[in-house]
Amino acid sequence: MVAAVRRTVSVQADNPRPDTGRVPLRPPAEVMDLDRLGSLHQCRISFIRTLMRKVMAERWAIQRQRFDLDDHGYGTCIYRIASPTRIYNLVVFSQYLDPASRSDRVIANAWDVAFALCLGDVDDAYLDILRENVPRQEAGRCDPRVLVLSRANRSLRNFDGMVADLAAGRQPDPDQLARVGYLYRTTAVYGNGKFGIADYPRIRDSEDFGLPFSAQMFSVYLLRDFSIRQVEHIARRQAPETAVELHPELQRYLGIGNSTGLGMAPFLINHPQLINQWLLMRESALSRCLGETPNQETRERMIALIDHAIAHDQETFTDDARQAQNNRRLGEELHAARDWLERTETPEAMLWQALLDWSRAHWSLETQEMLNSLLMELYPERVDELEHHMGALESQDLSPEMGTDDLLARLRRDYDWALAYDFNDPAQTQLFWYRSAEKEEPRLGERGVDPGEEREMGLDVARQARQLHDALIDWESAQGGPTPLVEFLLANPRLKGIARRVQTLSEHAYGDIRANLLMKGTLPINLLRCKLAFFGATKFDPRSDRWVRITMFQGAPRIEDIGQHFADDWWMALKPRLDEAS
Amino acid sequence: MHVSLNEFTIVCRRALDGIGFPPGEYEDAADMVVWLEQHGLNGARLLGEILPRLTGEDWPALIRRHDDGGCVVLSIDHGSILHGGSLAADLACTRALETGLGIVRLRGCRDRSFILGYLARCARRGHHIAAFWCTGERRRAIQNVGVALADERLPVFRQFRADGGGEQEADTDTLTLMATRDFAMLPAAPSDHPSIELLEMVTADEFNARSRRAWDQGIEVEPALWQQLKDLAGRKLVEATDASRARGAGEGQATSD
Repeated sequence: MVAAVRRTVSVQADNPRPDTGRVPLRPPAEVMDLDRLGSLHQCRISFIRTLMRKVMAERWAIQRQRFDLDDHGYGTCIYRIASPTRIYNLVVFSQYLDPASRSDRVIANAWDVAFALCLGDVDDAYLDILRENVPRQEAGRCDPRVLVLSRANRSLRNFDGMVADLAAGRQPDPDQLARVGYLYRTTAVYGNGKFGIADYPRIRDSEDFGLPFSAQMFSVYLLRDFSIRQVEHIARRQAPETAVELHPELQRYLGIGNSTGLGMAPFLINHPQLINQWLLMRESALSRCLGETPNQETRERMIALIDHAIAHDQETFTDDARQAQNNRRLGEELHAARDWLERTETPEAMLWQALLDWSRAHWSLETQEMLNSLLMELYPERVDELEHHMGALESQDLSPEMGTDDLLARLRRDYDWALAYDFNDPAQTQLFWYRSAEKEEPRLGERGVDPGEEREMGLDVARQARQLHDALIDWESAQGGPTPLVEFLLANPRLKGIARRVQTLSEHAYGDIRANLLMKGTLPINLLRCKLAFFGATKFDPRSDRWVRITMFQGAPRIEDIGQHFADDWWMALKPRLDEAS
Repeated sequence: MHVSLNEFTIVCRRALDGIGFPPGEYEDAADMVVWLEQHGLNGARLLGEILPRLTGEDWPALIRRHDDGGCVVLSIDHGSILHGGSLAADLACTRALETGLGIVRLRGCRDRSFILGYLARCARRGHHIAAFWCTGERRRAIQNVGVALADERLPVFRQFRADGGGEQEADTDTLTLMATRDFAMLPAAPSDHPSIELLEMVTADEFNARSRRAWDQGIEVEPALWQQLKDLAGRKLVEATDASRARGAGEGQATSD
């Protein structure tokens, strides 16, 4: 057996590390803490922010080409979209849903609407094919002309009430829309080849939808318009003499809801290079902004943004006690942040870093991350270009020539957080993740209580890192020293996956979420919130520790606004005051 | 039936996981199958043919028969290349870095064409590597050669029939892997030699075009194979109970408002 070879092939990210100026990136131990990731808010490079900037800047032409709905709003609607490069069509099928079948769970089999974003135009023959398959979602089969497949359910809290209001000639109560800011909730938005639709590489190089999840987000954006036109249509059919259209300000204030459960959690563990890229860009944006020297104008603008965030927080409601407490604290601490900014005598050149340091020392994670998001709003010229680098190819390659001592050193350096867990303590492995036979829905079980632990999913990165560490030590002891990794793996093939992950992610510092997901008390909802924040979600409304409702596109321009002035200040929309807006 | 490449990848990975392939290996094995299918070399059909064997066999041991530093002989006891055979290529690459040339012969190895998918990954990591194996009748065997150059995305594949006069018997159960730091050492058999008949050659450009087609249009998979793969993947699924339905995915407040 030959000695360990010192050369290792460097794993390069798809994109070069952006220049961040004089302020270093925050360390992974801070950024990848699960509680912090579960406190993220949307920011300028969240996907729906990027999408709206693109659609508005390029003036995409969106037409409701077909709107065949009956008195109850059931039927077919087609949107035709012309981007600067391609034609797309979004086809929406609206149908009666038995109330007993209405569920946000992925295991549901019927929905109020189902829709598909298609490449190119849709003729009658193809429409028939779509009608046969799209409403069946997972049970249907589509083809690569379909880029996105999704479904949504009406919010019973809003839908019928809004129809009644509009039919009676009244505008709906903005207070109610502040509580629930949408008419529909999507329950799954499928892309990347699911159920026969187009693989992501088909559009990865396209100018329109090359960025992650942009096609999915765009489909959801169009559903928002459909929801508005549908309630107006039903109201008109119910009371043609009295019905009114929804006030434009309320149209903008309406978003689209989403229910997300544990299905999102494995994505974050199984796409570490993509997650690294998202966090790397966000942290790069933050570092760039921290390095900026504010003047009086930017300081005042930051204070105005904090005031706006306070107002938005006051209009954010949840029944979840933990989130409600977080929201209350966020509001209080934002007031304190405002006071701090007004009173501090910190030199301008150090102001933003001082704010960050102060917030770290005194305020909650929610507040810290809100301030970070707000800071990014001040310097779009330093932030927005990073949105083009949010994609990453997920390819973990083995470096078989790496010495086992090198791998051990990387484990101790980058996975110290994992090695700190004591896996002899049953509490550290109390939970296990599994896929249910019901639509392969990921679920969480309690070891020794729930069936299925022998079929556990491999989301136990921390435990695997510990196993690899111990096996490497035993190996080197038996071999009398280090060897190339491939020799170790020939004897220990079961550890290939984690060895390759450690190698790869030692070059992607923000790839692994630093938490033992098997530990008693783990909050999976933090995983969901991290991803949803990158989507651009607001108004997090946990319904348990395992699923959450959120709102997207609340405040975004309507399709009628495309071509008009766009200030890109729509996020964290506040309840409109119709008397002033009229 | 029509499926996307991503769907096929996921179902292959989950099926091999269901069979019992270890983490890391089920992904690599599935990716080798998908690579062949994506590049027009019938990965799905080949997988369908060997699935009964894969599901019925234990994971074979890779036994080292010879090792002089530059040349290693391993035996896999008539196991599939999908059974961790990619490590043989990794070993060849490692030895090439150490000594300039790494040769690994993997004896008793089945399903060797799947190695083509792994050559591309070795090349992506900066290795020059070639794979050689014989198929068909031992006295008139077909010689298969895949060559991948460092940092190239795709290999070149050639099939020859060499006239051995019917006297030499080919070794039809060995895969030979040769990795080198010097690309010029890789085989470049002349296709116009009188005793060699070039049966097929797939260039990197052709592979690229096939790959593009597969990404754009998806692939066709026999429904029976698809169902087999789904069934195998199902081995890792846990039957739902009322308790798991409620607690496992999040009890909480009503979902219908």
